[in-house]
Amino acid sequence: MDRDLVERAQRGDQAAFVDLVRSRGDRLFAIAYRILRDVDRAEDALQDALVIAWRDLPDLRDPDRFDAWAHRLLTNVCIADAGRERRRIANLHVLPLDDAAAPDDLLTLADRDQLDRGFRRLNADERAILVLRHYVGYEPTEIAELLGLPAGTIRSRLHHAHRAMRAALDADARTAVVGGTSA
Amino acid sequence: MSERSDIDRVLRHWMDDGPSTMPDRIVDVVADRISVHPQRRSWRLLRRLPMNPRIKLAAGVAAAVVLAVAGYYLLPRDGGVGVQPTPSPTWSPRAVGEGVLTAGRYRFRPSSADPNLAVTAEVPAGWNGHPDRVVTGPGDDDPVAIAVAFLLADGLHSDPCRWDRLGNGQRGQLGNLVVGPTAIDLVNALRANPAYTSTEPNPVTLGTHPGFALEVRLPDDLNLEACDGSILGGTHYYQIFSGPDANPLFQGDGNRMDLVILDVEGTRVIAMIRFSDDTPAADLDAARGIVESVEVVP
Repeated sequence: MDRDLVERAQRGDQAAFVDLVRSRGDRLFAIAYRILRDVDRAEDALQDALVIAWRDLPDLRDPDRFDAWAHRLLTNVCIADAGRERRRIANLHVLPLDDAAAPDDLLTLADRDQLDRGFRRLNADERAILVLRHYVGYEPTEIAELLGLPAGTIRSRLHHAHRAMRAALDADARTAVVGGTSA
Repeated sequence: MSERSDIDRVLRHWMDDGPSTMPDRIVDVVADRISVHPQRRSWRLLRRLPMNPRIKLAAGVAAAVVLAVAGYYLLPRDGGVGVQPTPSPTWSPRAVGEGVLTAGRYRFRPSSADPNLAVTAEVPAGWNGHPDRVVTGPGDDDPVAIAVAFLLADGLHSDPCRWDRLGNGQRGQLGNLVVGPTAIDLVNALRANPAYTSTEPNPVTLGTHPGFALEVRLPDDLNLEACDGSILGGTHYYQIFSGPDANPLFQGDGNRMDLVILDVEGTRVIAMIRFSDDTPAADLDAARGIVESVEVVP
């Protein structure tokens, strides 16, 4: 059924493509958010990736590979967006939102804060690789195929990213809270 | 458990959190965009098409003619630019990114629970973005920098210095003043609180949404060190409003806040300009321009 949708969209059927967007959008949005850690930017990246997908869909050789192909397009858009991100120290006068989630038996709020900070310090490629590995569940060889990089490079970047995230978790939480004076 | 499996488990668990539902509007925006974006012809398929030598020759001649004609029209004339770039259409307001913004209409997200609720506003060049709901004026390293924020509040703290009712330092806690759901309910509660002064509310309309505008001013002599703050130390501040989306900004002594409180189809949305007596008039004018340009998409 999905193959039929993809094939119709490849022939220019806009309604079929919109149906694909509806059926795949949640998953794609979730991936974009996890790479970019920002709802608005994830939304913009997803919109751009879907328009690129529409434009390039006739070149997709195997309609059954639509999901992996869409993941690749989206990941590339997110990496490009993250690369443009202006890195700066968070403004001390603006408070990040509290996580209102219920208490967590595995991760404390401080852990999550540290993970978030550690993740944002990674480069865009490493962020994308972590999300593809731990959220989407791709094996390193699949990520390599997706991103067009050697599998050894993916493993090396995964190793580095894991080490950085572990270090972030181990960091003293007291050094990471919002500081400065109020205004 | 090995170190590797441990970090694997932690990351999987951490990444399970977060939004996983695409906002509905994306479908509409993408449908609009693809309706004017032609699909690329498949070169994969074109390469398979047989071409006899006569067609190849005709195609070559045609390509040369096209290039010659295009080149003629693309040549600069009178020292000018040959082709004026066509501006890209603006499909939707831009997300508020982090850092210095260019002038344009930006989209803010006042609600962490409802990604469909959006506020858009025109922001001048040089202001600084802080995703997803705050912009600060040029030169925001100044502790009295002006800021514009969009927020939701479900109530108030009667003593804004003592907002940490749970003792865990987390913002977003429930306030101890129960406030009704409308804009005027919140206006009345602000007006009744002696912890700060507030002006008479004026009825306003932003976009199509009715509301009230008033100014709230905090005392100049607050002892913030005695106030609640992060339990890990270092930061003490006021919290006037309560609720998970109520306090994206610190509040402290001498702060003045221009508030526009709107009723948006059952949701109360607050536009806040935080400034002080030292804020340059030009920055305040710019901030008011941002708020006056607000449109709310419920």
